[in-house]
Amino acid sequence: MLVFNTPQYFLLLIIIPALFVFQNLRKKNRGALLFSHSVWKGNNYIFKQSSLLIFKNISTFFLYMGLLFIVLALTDPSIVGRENNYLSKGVDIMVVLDESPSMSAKDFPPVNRFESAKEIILKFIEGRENDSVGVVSFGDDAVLRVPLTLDYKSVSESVKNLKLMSLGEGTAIGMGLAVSVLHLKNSTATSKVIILLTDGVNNAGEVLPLSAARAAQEYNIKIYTIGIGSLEPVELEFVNPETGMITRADLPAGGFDQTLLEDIASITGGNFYKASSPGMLETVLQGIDYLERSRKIIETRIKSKPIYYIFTIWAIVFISTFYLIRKSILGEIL
Amino acid sequence: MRITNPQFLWTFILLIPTILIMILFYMGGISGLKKLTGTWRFVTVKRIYILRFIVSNFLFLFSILSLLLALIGLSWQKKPESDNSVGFEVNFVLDISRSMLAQDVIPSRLDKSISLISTIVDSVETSKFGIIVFKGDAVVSVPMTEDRLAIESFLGSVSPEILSSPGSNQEKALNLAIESFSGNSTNRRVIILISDGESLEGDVFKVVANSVNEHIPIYCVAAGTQKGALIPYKDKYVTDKNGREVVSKTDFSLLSNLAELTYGKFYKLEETQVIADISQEIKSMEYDKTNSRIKYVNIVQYKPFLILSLVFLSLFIFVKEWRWSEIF
Repeated sequence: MLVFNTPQYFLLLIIIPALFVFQNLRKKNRGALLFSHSVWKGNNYIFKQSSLLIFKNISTFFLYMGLLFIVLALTDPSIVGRENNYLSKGVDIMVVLDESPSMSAKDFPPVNRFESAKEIILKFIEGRENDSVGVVSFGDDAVLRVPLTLDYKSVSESVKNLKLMSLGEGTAIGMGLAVSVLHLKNSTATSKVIILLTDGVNNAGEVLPLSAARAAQEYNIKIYTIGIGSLEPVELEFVNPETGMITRADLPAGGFDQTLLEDIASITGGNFYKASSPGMLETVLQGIDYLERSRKIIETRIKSKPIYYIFTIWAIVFISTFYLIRKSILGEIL
Repeated sequence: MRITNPQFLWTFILLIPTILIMILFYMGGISGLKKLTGTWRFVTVKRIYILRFIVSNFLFLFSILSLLLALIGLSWQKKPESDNSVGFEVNFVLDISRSMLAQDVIPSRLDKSISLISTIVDSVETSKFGIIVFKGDAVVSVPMTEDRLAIESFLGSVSPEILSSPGSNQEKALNLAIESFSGNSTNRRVIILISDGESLEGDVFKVVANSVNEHIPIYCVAAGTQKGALIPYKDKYVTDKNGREVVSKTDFSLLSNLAELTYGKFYKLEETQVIADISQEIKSMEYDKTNSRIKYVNIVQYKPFLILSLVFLSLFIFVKEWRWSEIF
């Protein structure tokens, strides 16, 4: 929104009509020649009277515009926006995503479990306002992809960049949780949450999932576990990052380790959810969103950005054009 | 005295062609006058003409000059304002060009920069940090976070290989840094730029207006020496097209100007005390609950110049239009 901070300067606009009166209504007094004869090359005038008048009017218009823009710049025009500042701390949310090859199962349209999960996580991040979000992904090992931050652009960027099997073929649920706990434990937020998305059974890593869960409980971190996928056998299709080859396989019936996920959730005071379709996964995340609402204290500030310089630049352009037209095209001597 | 919009400083060069054009018009005017008056009245009229020409054109020139002075936004006064910032955010902008491997700073420019960052991160308790690395391109490597562990582990892996684009675009990096603060202006915000080179692409001074308006000072650390050093590359040194070894020198003046214009401070990484000095300085900015604080905000003085320009312009028109009874 455009705001003029010192509108009293608008009074100076009186210069423009005053100038108009001064220039046009003193005709009786003057016998001055308006324009020079330097345009006269000894023969006929190059300009007809009418075109001279047009140029005269245009140049006067530029002069008035120049004056107008100087006055506008004086009124301190600013672009004003509203800014919400959170004075309270939100929830710290660490999203832990399984990167194992079974996540490429095609029972989650349009592509596979992994891509759907990424989509839905992105949507979830979009809905955050004041909650720090971080991302951990795991395969054979676990890695922190983004630390807890309010910079949602960075988080979304790195979620988009997640790739299947970049950390090997295993499913190290325990490692994923341990890394998350490590990065959450020093956080000063009142509420800390881990959201674990997996479709498999813990089969790698040096940390047992349950011991990671106990560590989380010690630091008051709640873990919500989400088991992804159906229990039926499904087809897999993924590109092996090492060989670059497309691999197809059938995933036998079985799926995630429900008792383990339930135990992890119950130890830390979280919940376990089953998500057998993308729609359900979205509902589950909405549910967690609802459970983890923090009380928000918001302060609204008015933020303004001065733009007087834009008006000043235009004033310079208008006045210079006025001068140039007068002196060159109209050949004004004085 | 400070300049708020240094990106417009070049416009003053425009005054030279303006004066040249005026001289041209003056000469054209004289010959026009000759045609108009004939030779016998020319001498008297010329005297008045010169006087009027000089007066009116100087008024016009002054008017343009005042507008240019208004444009660059001079400021020489500060007004006190209560500082009610709550949190504290520091964004490190780290140059990772190959020349940062030069060893005129011990152990190397990059290594000392890394230990500088990790010392600062350790010394301040309640604040958020972010790291942006740049070469020809800039990326947010660690977004604004409280997670020191993440910063430490990133610092362990910094090397010129992170980015592939060659060059050094400080403008892009600094703009990215300003954008990637949490957007919460109740936080006190600081940028620490660590770089060893001149800005090869982009105009760093374009950042100044934005940083001043957002109250984000840029602390500049010159990583390198004016004497310069060779840049190591695979057991040898980097050479130019002719096979000569490239000496990388640090441009102190650019960084110290940038620091001054944005109300930051300038440091040299080669000095032994530098790490202690900077962390001391950053620590002193940390939120202090006990005192109510005052910060000084500079006032950009453009209005006096705009009024001056208005006055000159009005006088210019008046001199032009008013009939001087002696002539015509």
